[in-house]
Amino acid sequence: MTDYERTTIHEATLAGRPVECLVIDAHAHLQTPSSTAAHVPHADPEGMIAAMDALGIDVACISILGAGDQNELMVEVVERHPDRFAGFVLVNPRYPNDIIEVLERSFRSPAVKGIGEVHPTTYWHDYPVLGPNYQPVWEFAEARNLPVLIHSGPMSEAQRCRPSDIGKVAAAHPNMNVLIGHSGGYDSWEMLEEAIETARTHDNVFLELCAMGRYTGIVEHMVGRVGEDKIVFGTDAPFHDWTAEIAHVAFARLSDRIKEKIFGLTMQSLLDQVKVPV
Amino acid sequence: MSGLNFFDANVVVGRVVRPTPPMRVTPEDVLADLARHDIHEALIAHAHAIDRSHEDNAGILPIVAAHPGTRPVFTVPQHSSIDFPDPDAAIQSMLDAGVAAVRVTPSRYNGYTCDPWALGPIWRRFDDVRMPVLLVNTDLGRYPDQPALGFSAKNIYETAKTFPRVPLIIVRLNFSALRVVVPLMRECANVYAELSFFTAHRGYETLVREVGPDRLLFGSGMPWGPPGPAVVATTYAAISEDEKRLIAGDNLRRLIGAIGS
Repeated sequence: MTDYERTTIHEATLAGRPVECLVIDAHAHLQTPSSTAAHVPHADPEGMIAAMDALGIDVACISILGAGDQNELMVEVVERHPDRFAGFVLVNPRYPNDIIEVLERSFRSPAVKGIGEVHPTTYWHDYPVLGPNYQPVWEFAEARNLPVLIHSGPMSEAQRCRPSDIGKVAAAHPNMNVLIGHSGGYDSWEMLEEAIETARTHDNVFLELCAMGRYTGIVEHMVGRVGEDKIVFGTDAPFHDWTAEIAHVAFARLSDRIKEKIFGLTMQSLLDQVKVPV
Repeated sequence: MSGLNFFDANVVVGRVVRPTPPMRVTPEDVLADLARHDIHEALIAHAHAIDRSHEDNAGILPIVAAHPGTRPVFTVPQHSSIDFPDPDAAIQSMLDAGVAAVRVTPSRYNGYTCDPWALGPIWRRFDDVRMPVLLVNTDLGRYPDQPALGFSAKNIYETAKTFPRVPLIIVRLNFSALRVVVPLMRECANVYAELSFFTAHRGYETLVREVGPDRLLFGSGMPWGPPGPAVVATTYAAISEDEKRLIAGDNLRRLIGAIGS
């Protein structure tokens, strides 16, 4: 048995107690139960906060999905609960003429902290991550050291948002911090390995966990390959429940010190880097 | 410890065809990982029987004999008329071996039909003895990005109505299936859901409210998926402790106890 077989966080989670360290969900959304994709129970902010409280999640970074003209709904929620939600702004490259206006209007709120979920997939904005319409977004983020969450995966979407292409965006904009959503590979080990290699070779690229933990032993594998400082906790809640990703980190065969970094410390350091232009 | 006595409805042991690099597949490793999550009872099937041939079912029996708390699962082809020409002998051999459930493995070749007439006469024997049937890779239990290979919701409905004493267990109920699985379970009292992959937001609470706690089964999905997600989803669900105990293991114990009744 290793020292990390059943850590304090492991035991507390088995017992059903809230995780006690700082927990920041880097990848959550603002949805309604009537989502066209699937029924989403208890998706209202109060319902989300109740679930967060039970599990010990301190802050969730939330974004809205859709056409890119409903960020005001997100802003209203994060301003109402600034200690529990951080706002991320949805941009739609299919409307390039209003992107800067959307960003500037949203970032007037101090509760807005990042950009995302950038969604190049064929089933959302269907626009490649290397396309020119995203360029103003990257420049906006670069000027403010913003964290930018970019969806990656599944394998069938590689032509839109493969991890190595996200790495090219990050390399050209070293002051923005890029989170590879889903670590690139929730159905593909090849995409995961590409995401790991991208994060390993770019200082400003981080791996966001949600949906990847479905593979047994994945968190330990990722830490072994990319290190303990390049992985952040995320859930995709309330599209998915928060519990699965809590389990993947809490029960990993890792020290609690590393789990604390994944759960919140690394993401907190990225949020602390955000600067407001004079 | 949560105080819940988990009984895992969905475990496979032995060498699988397409492992991921960190996957551990030996019975000892899989069961140790379950124990690390305070899971000490499990239905287990052998990977060879799933990936190669139902003739490999017997491989699970010495493993079960060596590991208290486990019960054997046999696999049955999706279409079994030819494979089991003597269904009476086949079901008796399963009962003699202590089989606690059968697992229907979808065929990539003939998955276009899962109508009751195509499944095979052994299903009438399943009905006679109330044998729990684990339905793998149904349309309600696959990730939306994955292709369908097995039972559609319509197939499950028709099979449940044709064999009303068979507990039909949808394995790895998917988070996106709520809008279909709720009316299906309301219509068919013998349809159950195994929850190893069920990640709908507050999904346990929703299913308990909509269909009741009696037909929800804890499962891990080992060795492909880790046990943790379903453990945490059960432990933290905003439902009563009695409802948690049913989901964690008592529902499965009740189904196994009813075999042959």
